[in-house]
Amino acid sequence: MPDYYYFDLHSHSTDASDDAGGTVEGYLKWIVARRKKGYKIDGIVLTEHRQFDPTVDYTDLAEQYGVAVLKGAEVETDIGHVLAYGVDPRFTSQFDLSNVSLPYQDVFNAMYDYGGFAVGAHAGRPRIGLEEHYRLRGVSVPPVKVVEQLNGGSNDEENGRALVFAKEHGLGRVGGSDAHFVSAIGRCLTAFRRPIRSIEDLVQELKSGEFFPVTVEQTLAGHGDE
Amino acid sequence: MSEAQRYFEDVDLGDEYAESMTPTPELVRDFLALNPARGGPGDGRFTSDEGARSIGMRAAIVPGVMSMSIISRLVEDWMGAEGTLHSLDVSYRRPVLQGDELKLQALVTDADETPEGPRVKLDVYMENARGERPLQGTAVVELPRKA
Repeated sequence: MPDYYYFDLHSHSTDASDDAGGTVEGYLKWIVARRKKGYKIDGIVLTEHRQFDPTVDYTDLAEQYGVAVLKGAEVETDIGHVLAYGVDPRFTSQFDLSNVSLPYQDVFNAMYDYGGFAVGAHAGRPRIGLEEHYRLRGVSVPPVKVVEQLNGGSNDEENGRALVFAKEHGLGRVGGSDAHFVSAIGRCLTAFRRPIRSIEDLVQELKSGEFFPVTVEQTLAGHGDE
Repeated sequence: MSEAQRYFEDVDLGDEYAESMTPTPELVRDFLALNPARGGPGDGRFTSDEGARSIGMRAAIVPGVMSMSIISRLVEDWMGAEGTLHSLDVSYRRPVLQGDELKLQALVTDADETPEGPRVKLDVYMENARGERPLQGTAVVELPRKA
Protein backbone atom coordinates (compact mmCIF):
# COMPACT_ATOMS: atom_id res chain seq x y z
CA MET A 1 0.00 0.00 0.00
CA PRO A 2 1.53 3.37 -0.95
CA ASP A 3 2.31 6.02 1.65
CA TYR A 4 0.18 9.10 1.61
CA TYR A 5 0.69 12.53 3.07
CA TYR A 6 -2.30 13.97 4.81
CA PHE A 7 -3.00 17.68 4.92
CA ASP A 8 -5.88 19.63 6.39
CA LEU A 9 -6.42 22.29 3.72
CA HIS A 10 -8.94 24.45 5.58
CA SER A 11 -8.61 25.88 9.10
CA HIS A 12 -9.06 29.10 11.05
CA SER A 13 -7.32 30.36 14.16
CA THR A 14 -7.73 33.03 16.79
CA ASP A 15 -4.80 34.84 15.17
CA ALA A 16 -6.95 36.22 12.38
CA SER A 17 -10.46 34.75 12.27
CA ASP A 18 -12.86 36.40 14.68
CA ASP A 19 -15.16 33.37 14.84
CA ALA A 20 -12.39 30.93 15.77
CA GLY A 21 -11.62 29.61 19.24
CA GLY A 22 -8.54 27.55 18.42
CA THR A 23 -4.96 28.79 18.59
CA VAL A 24 -2.32 27.59 16.16
CA GLU A 25 -0.31 26.08 18.99
CA GLY A 26 -3.47 24.42 20.29
CA TYR A 27 -3.98 22.82 16.89
CA LEU A 28 -0.43 21.52 16.83
CA LYS A 29 -0.64 20.08 20.35
CA TRP A 30 -3.85 18.35 19.35
CA ILE A 31 -2.28 16.87 16.22
CA VAL A 32 0.62 15.51 18.27
CA ALA A 33 -1.90 13.90 20.64
CA ARG A 34 -3.82 12.44 17.69
CA ARG A 35 -0.65 10.98 16.22
CA LYS A 36 -0.04 9.13 19.50
CA LYS A 37 -3.38 7.43 18.91
CA GLY A 38 -2.31 6.31 15.45
CA TYR A 39 -3.86 9.00 13.27
CA LYS A 40 -1.75 10.52 10.54
CA ILE A 41 -1.81 14.26 9.98
CA ASP A 42 1.24 15.74 8.29
CA GLY A 43 0.27 19.38 8.09
CA ILE A 44 -2.34 22.07 8.05
CA VAL A 45 -3.11 25.13 6.01
CA LEU A 46 -4.41 28.20 7.85
CA THR A 47 -7.02 29.79 5.62
CA GLU A 48 -8.11 32.80 7.62
CA HIS A 49 -11.28 34.60 6.58
CA ARG A 50 -11.03 37.44 4.06
CA GLN A 51 -7.36 38.22 4.55
CA PHE A 52 -3.81 37.14 3.95
CA ASP A 53 -0.91 38.38 6.06
CA PRO A 54 2.43 37.55 4.41
CA THR A 55 4.37 38.61 7.51
CA VAL A 56 3.01 35.94 9.86
CA ASP A 57 5.52 33.12 10.29
CA TYR A 58 4.79 29.81 12.01
CA THR A 59 8.14 28.19 11.22
CA ASP A 60 9.25 27.90 14.86
CA LEU A 61 5.97 26.39 16.01
CA ALA A 62 5.96 24.00 13.06
CA GLU A 63 9.46 22.78 13.91
CA GLN A 64 8.68 22.52 17.63
CA TYR A 65 5.73 20.21 17.02
CA GLY A 66 6.86 18.51 13.82
CA VAL A 67 3.78 19.57 11.87
CA ALA A 68 3.88 21.54 8.62
CA VAL A 69 2.00 24.83 8.90
CA LEU A 70 1.21 26.60 5.64
CA LYS A 71 -0.81 29.71 4.95
CA GLY A 72 -3.60 30.36 2.49
CA ALA A 73 -6.79 32.39 2.60
CA GLU A 74 -10.54 31.89 2.44
CA VAL A 75 -12.07 34.64 0.35
CA GLU A 76 -15.72 35.24 -0.44
CA THR A 77 -17.08 35.44 -3.97
CA ASP A 78 -20.36 35.58 -5.83
CA ILE A 79 -20.48 31.76 -5.97
CA GLY A 80 -19.49 31.19 -2.34
CA HIS A 81 -16.24 30.86 -0.50
CA VAL A 82 -12.95 30.08 -2.20
CA LEU A 83 -9.75 28.68 -0.70
CA ALA A 84 -6.63 30.31 -2.08
CA TYR A 85 -3.18 28.69 -1.91
CA GLY A 86 -0.01 30.45 -2.97
CA VAL A 87 -1.36 33.96 -2.50
CA ASP A 88 0.80 36.37 -4.49
CA PRO A 89 1.18 40.12 -3.77
CA ARG A 90 -0.35 40.78 -7.18
CA PHE A 91 -3.47 38.96 -6.03
CA THR A 92 -3.84 40.99 -2.83
CA SER A 93 -3.24 44.16 -4.82
CA GLN A 94 -5.85 43.26 -7.38
CA PHE A 95 -8.62 42.27 -4.96
CA ASP A 96 -10.00 43.77 -1.78
CA LEU A 97 -10.13 40.57 0.26
CA SER A 98 -12.63 42.10 2.69
CA ASN A 99 -15.17 42.24 -0.16
CA VAL A 100 -17.68 39.42 0.42
CA SER A 101 -18.79 39.23 -3.20
CA LEU A 102 -15.66 39.06 -5.30
CA PRO A 103 -16.14 37.99 -8.96
CA TYR A 104 -15.32 34.30 -8.78
CA GLN A 105 -14.03 33.81 -12.31
CA ASP A 106 -11.58 36.67 -11.86
CA VAL A 107 -10.47 35.25 -8.51
CA PHE A 108 -9.83 31.75 -9.87
CA ASN A 109 -8.10 32.98 -13.02
CA ALA A 110 -5.91 35.42 -11.08
CA MET A 111 -4.85 32.69 -8.67
CA TYR A 112 -3.88 30.44 -11.58
CA ASP A 113 -2.16 33.27 -13.47
CA TYR A 114 -0.09 34.29 -10.44
CA GLY A 115 1.18 30.77 -9.85
CA GLY A 116 -1.21 29.72 -7.12
CA PHE A 117 -4.29 27.54 -6.96
CA ALA A 118 -7.91 28.05 -5.91
CA VAL A 119 -10.50 25.59 -4.63
CA GLY A 120 -14.25 26.03 -4.24
CA ALA A 121 -14.83 25.70 -0.48
CA HIS A 122 -17.56 23.53 1.11
CA ALA A 123 -19.12 23.02 -2.31
CA GLY A 124 -22.31 21.41 -1.03
CA ARG A 125 -23.19 24.06 1.54
CA PRO A 126 -26.22 26.29 0.81
CA ARG A 127 -25.40 29.89 -0.17
CA ILE A 128 -21.65 29.63 0.40
CA GLY A 129 -20.89 26.62 -1.82
CA LEU A 130 -20.67 26.33 -5.60
CA GLU A 131 -23.23 23.57 -6.14
CA GLU A 132 -26.26 25.65 -5.16
CA HIS A 133 -25.14 28.60 -7.29
CA TYR A 134 -24.79 26.25 -10.25
CA ARG A 135 -28.14 24.57 -9.63
CA LEU A 136 -30.18 27.70 -8.94
CA ARG A 137 -28.42 30.33 -11.03
CA GLY A 138 -26.69 28.31 -13.70
CA VAL A 139 -23.27 29.82 -13.11
CA SER A 140 -20.41 28.43 -15.15
CA VAL A 141 -18.39 25.71 -13.42
CA PRO A 142 -15.16 26.57 -15.27
CA PRO A 143 -12.71 27.96 -14.31
CA VAL A 144 -13.21 25.92 -11.13
CA LYS A 145 -11.13 22.74 -11.33
CA VAL A 146 -11.22 21.47 -7.75
CA VAL A 147 -13.79 21.69 -4.97
CA GLU A 148 -13.68 20.95 -1.28
CA GLN A 149 -16.03 17.99 -1.32
CA LEU A 150 -15.42 16.78 2.24
CA ASN A 151 -15.79 19.64 4.69
CA GLY A 152 -15.77 19.19 8.46
CA GLY A 153 -18.37 21.90 8.98
CA SER A 154 -20.83 20.53 6.44
CA ASN A 155 -23.38 17.86 7.21
CA ASP A 156 -23.47 14.46 5.54
CA GLU A 157 -26.11 15.52 3.01
CA GLU A 158 -24.12 18.59 1.97
CA ASN A 159 -20.93 16.59 1.54
CA GLY A 160 -22.88 14.01 -0.44
CA ARG A 161 -24.29 16.71 -2.69
CA ALA A 162 -20.78 18.02 -3.29
CA LEU A 163 -19.60 14.53 -4.20
CA VAL A 164 -22.30 14.09 -6.86
CA PHE A 165 -21.63 17.59 -8.20
CA ALA A 166 -17.89 17.02 -8.44
CA LYS A 167 -18.31 13.71 -10.22
CA GLU A 168 -20.86 15.12 -12.66
CA HIS A 169 -18.47 17.91 -13.64
CA GLY A 170 -15.21 16.00 -13.48
CA LEU A 171 -13.81 18.17 -10.70
CA GLY A 172 -10.97 17.27 -8.39
CA ARG A 173 -11.96 16.77 -4.76
CA VAL A 174 -10.18 17.75 -1.57
CA GLY A 175 -11.01 17.57 2.14
CA GLY A 176 -10.59 20.09 4.93
CA SER A 177 -11.79 20.35 8.49
CA ASP A 178 -12.85 24.01 8.37
CA ALA A 179 -11.73 23.90 12.00
CA HIS A 180 -12.52 26.86 14.19
CA PHE A 181 -11.84 24.95 17.41
CA VAL A 182 -8.91 22.78 18.45
CA SER A 183 -10.56 19.38 18.49
CA ALA A 184 -11.87 19.81 14.94
CA ILE A 185 -8.47 20.14 13.31
CA GLY A 186 -7.68 17.28 10.95
CA ARG A 187 -11.21 15.91 11.05
CA CYS A 188 -11.23 15.96 7.25
CA LEU A 189 -8.04 15.82 5.20
CA THR A 190 -6.62 15.52 1.72
CA ALA A 191 -4.33 12.60 0.86
CA PHE A 192 -1.39 13.41 -1.44
CA ARG A 193 1.08 11.04 -3.02
CA ARG A 194 4.16 13.18 -2.44
CA PRO A 195 5.39 15.02 0.65
CA ILE A 196 4.48 18.69 1.02
CA ARG A 197 6.89 21.01 2.80
CA SER A 198 5.94 24.39 1.37
CA ILE A 199 3.04 26.22 -0.18
CA GLU A 200 4.78 25.79 -3.54
CA ASP A 201 4.77 22.01 -3.01
CA LEU A 202 1.08 22.17 -2.19
CA VAL A 203 0.22 24.18 -5.30
CA GLN A 204 2.18 21.74 -7.43
CA GLU A 205 0.34 18.79 -5.96
CA LEU A 206 -3.03 20.46 -6.45
CA LYS A 207 -2.15 21.11 -10.07
CA SER A 208 -1.16 17.45 -10.49
CA GLY A 209 -4.67 16.29 -9.67
CA GLU A 210 -3.30 13.36 -7.67
CA PHE A 211 -5.15 13.65 -4.37
CA PHE A 212 -8.39 12.65 -2.72
CA PRO A 213 -10.35 13.52 0.42
CA VAL A 214 -10.34 11.37 3.55
CA THR A 215 -11.65 11.48 7.09
CA VAL A 216 -9.13 11.29 9.89
CA GLU A 217 -10.38 7.82 10.74
CA GLN A 218 -9.29 6.66 7.29
CA THR A 219 -5.68 7.56 8.11
CA LEU A 220 -5.48 5.07 10.97
CA ALA A 221 -4.11 2.17 8.95
CA GLY A 222 -3.12 4.15 5.88
CA HIS A 223 -5.68 4.51 3.17
CA GLY A 224 -5.56 2.84 -0.20
CA ASP A 225 -6.59 4.32 -3.49
CA GLU A 226 -10.18 5.38 -3.70
CA MET B 1 -24.92 12.91 34.98
CA SER B 2 -21.46 12.27 36.42
CA GLU B 3 -21.19 12.10 40.19
CA ALA B 4 -17.42 11.69 40.39
CA GLN B 5 -15.02 14.47 41.26
CA ARG B 6 -12.37 15.03 38.61
CA TYR B 7 -8.83 16.02 39.64
CA PHE B 8 -6.20 17.92 37.71
CA GLU B 9 -3.71 15.06 37.97
CA ASP B 10 -6.07 12.72 36.15
CA VAL B 11 -6.53 14.89 33.08
CA ASP B 12 -4.71 14.30 29.78
CA LEU B 13 -4.80 16.09 26.48
CA GLY B 14 -7.32 14.37 24.25
CA ASP B 15 -9.50 13.02 27.05
CA GLU B 16 -13.11 12.85 25.96
CA TYR B 17 -16.36 13.02 27.88
CA ALA B 18 -19.78 12.63 26.32
CA GLU B 19 -23.42 12.78 27.25
CA SER B 20 -26.53 12.71 25.12
CA MET B 21 -29.86 14.43 25.37
CA THR B 22 -32.85 15.36 23.27
CA PRO B 23 -34.33 18.83 23.70
CA THR B 24 -37.97 17.91 23.30
CA PRO B 25 -40.71 20.50 22.80
CA GLU B 26 -41.77 19.81 26.38
CA LEU B 27 -38.30 20.59 27.75
CA VAL B 28 -38.18 23.80 25.71
CA ARG B 29 -41.61 24.80 26.99
CA ASP B 30 -40.50 24.17 30.58
CA PHE B 31 -37.34 26.17 29.99
CA LEU B 32 -39.26 29.10 28.56
CA ALA B 33 -41.67 28.97 31.52
CA LEU B 34 -38.77 29.65 33.87
CA ASN B 35 -38.63 33.16 32.47
CA PRO B 36 -41.70 34.12 30.44
CA ALA B 37 -39.94 37.25 29.23
CA ARG B 38 -37.59 34.94 27.33
CA GLY B 39 -40.35 33.60 25.11
CA GLY B 40 -38.71 34.77 21.92
CA PRO B 41 -39.60 37.46 19.45
CA GLY B 42 -43.22 36.33 19.08
CA ASP B 43 -42.92 34.54 15.75
CA GLY B 44 -43.26 31.11 17.33
CA ARG B 45 -39.77 29.90 16.44
CA PHE B 46 -39.45 28.22 19.86
CA THR B 47 -43.01 26.94 20.15
CA SER B 48 -44.13 25.56 16.79
CA ASP B 49 -42.79 24.19 13.54
CA GLU B 50 -45.06 26.57 11.64
CA GLY B 51 -43.65 29.58 13.47
CA ALA B 52 -40.12 28.44 12.81
CA ARG B 53 -40.83 27.84 9.12
CA SER B 54 -42.21 31.37 8.83
CA ILE B 55 -38.66 32.62 9.39
CA GLY B 56 -37.00 30.03 7.18
CA MET B 57 -36.15 27.39 9.78
CA ARG B 58 -36.73 23.71 9.11
CA ALA B 59 -38.59 23.13 12.40
CA ALA B 60 -38.99 24.60 15.89
CA ILE B 61 -35.63 25.51 17.35
CA VAL B 62 -34.08 25.51 20.79
CA PRO B 63 -33.41 28.93 22.34
CA GLY B 64 -29.73 29.81 22.24
CA VAL B 65 -29.61 30.42 25.97
CA MET B 66 -31.01 26.93 26.54
CA SER B 67 -28.33 25.40 24.31
CA MET B 68 -25.75 27.32 26.31
CA SER B 69 -27.28 25.96 29.51
CA ILE B 70 -27.10 22.40 28.19
CA ILE B 71 -23.42 22.78 27.37
CA SER B 72 -22.80 24.49 30.70
CA ARG B 73 -24.25 21.49 32.49
CA LEU B 74 -22.06 19.16 30.44
CA VAL B 75 -18.98 21.00 31.67
CA GLU B 76 -20.21 20.99 35.26
CA ASP B 77 -20.89 17.26 35.06
CA TRP B 78 -17.39 16.71 33.71
CA MET B 79 -15.54 18.74 36.31
CA GLY B 80 -17.46 17.70 39.43
CA ALA B 81 -18.69 19.75 42.35
CA GLU B 82 -15.29 21.09 43.38
CA GLY B 83 -14.37 22.35 39.93
CA THR B 84 -14.75 25.98 38.95
CA LEU B 85 -15.93 27.08 35.53
CA HIS B 86 -13.95 30.20 34.70
CA SER B 87 -15.21 30.84 31.19
CA LEU B 88 -17.50 29.41 28.56
CA ASP B 89 -17.43 30.84 25.07
CA VAL B 90 -19.67 29.34 22.40
CA SER B 91 -20.34 29.93 18.73
CA TYR B 92 -23.79 29.22 17.28
CA ARG B 93 -23.11 27.85 13.82
CA ARG B 94 -26.49 26.32 12.93
CA PRO B 95 -29.94 26.18 14.56
CA VAL B 96 -30.50 23.47 17.18
CA LEU B 97 -33.76 21.76 16.24
CA GLN B 98 -36.19 20.52 18.85
CA GLY B 99 -36.40 16.74 18.94
CA ASP B 100 -32.87 16.23 17.64
CA GLU B 101 -30.89 13.63 19.53
CA LEU B 102 -27.74 15.46 20.49
CA LYS B 103 -24.36 14.10 21.40
CA LEU B 104 -22.73 16.50 23.86
CA GLN B 105 -18.98 16.31 23.90
CA ALA B 106 -16.18 17.82 25.97
CA LEU B 107 -12.54 17.23 24.96
CA VAL B 108 -9.44 18.29 26.84
CA THR B 109 -7.33 20.46 24.56
CA ASP B 110 -4.87 21.81 27.13
CA ALA B 111 -3.98 21.38 30.80
CA ASP B 112 -1.54 23.77 32.42
CA GLU B 113 -0.37 24.83 35.82
CA THR B 114 -0.75 28.62 35.72
CA PRO B 115 0.05 31.32 38.29
CA GLU B 116 -3.68 31.38 39.02
CA GLY B 117 -3.86 27.64 39.55
CA PRO B 118 -4.35 24.46 37.53
CA ARG B 119 -6.38 25.23 34.43
CA VAL B 120 -7.91 22.90 31.88
CA LYS B 121 -9.14 24.03 28.50
CA LEU B 122 -11.98 22.11 26.91
CA ASP B 123 -13.54 22.12 23.48
CA VAL B 124 -17.27 21.59 23.81
CA TYR B 125 -19.83 20.93 21.14
CA MET B 126 -23.21 19.48 20.28
CA GLU B 127 -23.50 17.08 17.36
CA ASN B 128 -26.73 15.91 15.78
CA ALA B 129 -27.47 12.81 13.74
CA ARG B 130 -26.95 14.73 10.50
CA GLY B 131 -23.29 15.20 11.36
CA GLU B 132 -23.73 18.89 12.15
CA ARG B 133 -22.15 20.64 15.09
CA PRO B 134 -24.60 23.50 15.59
CA LEU B 135 -22.90 24.78 18.72
CA GLN B 136 -19.17 24.73 19.36
CA GLY B 137 -17.10 26.47 21.95
CA THR B 138 -14.40 26.43 24.57
CA ALA B 139 -14.45 26.32 28.35
CA VAL B 140 -11.73 27.02 30.87
CA VAL B 141 -12.03 25.09 34.11
CA GLU B 142 -10.08 24.95 37.35
CA LEU B 143 -9.88 21.51 38.89
CA PRO B 144 -8.82 20.66 42.42
CA ARG B 145 -5.60 18.78 43.09
CA LYS B 146 -5.56 15.53 44.99
CA ALA B 147 -4.68 16.02 48.64
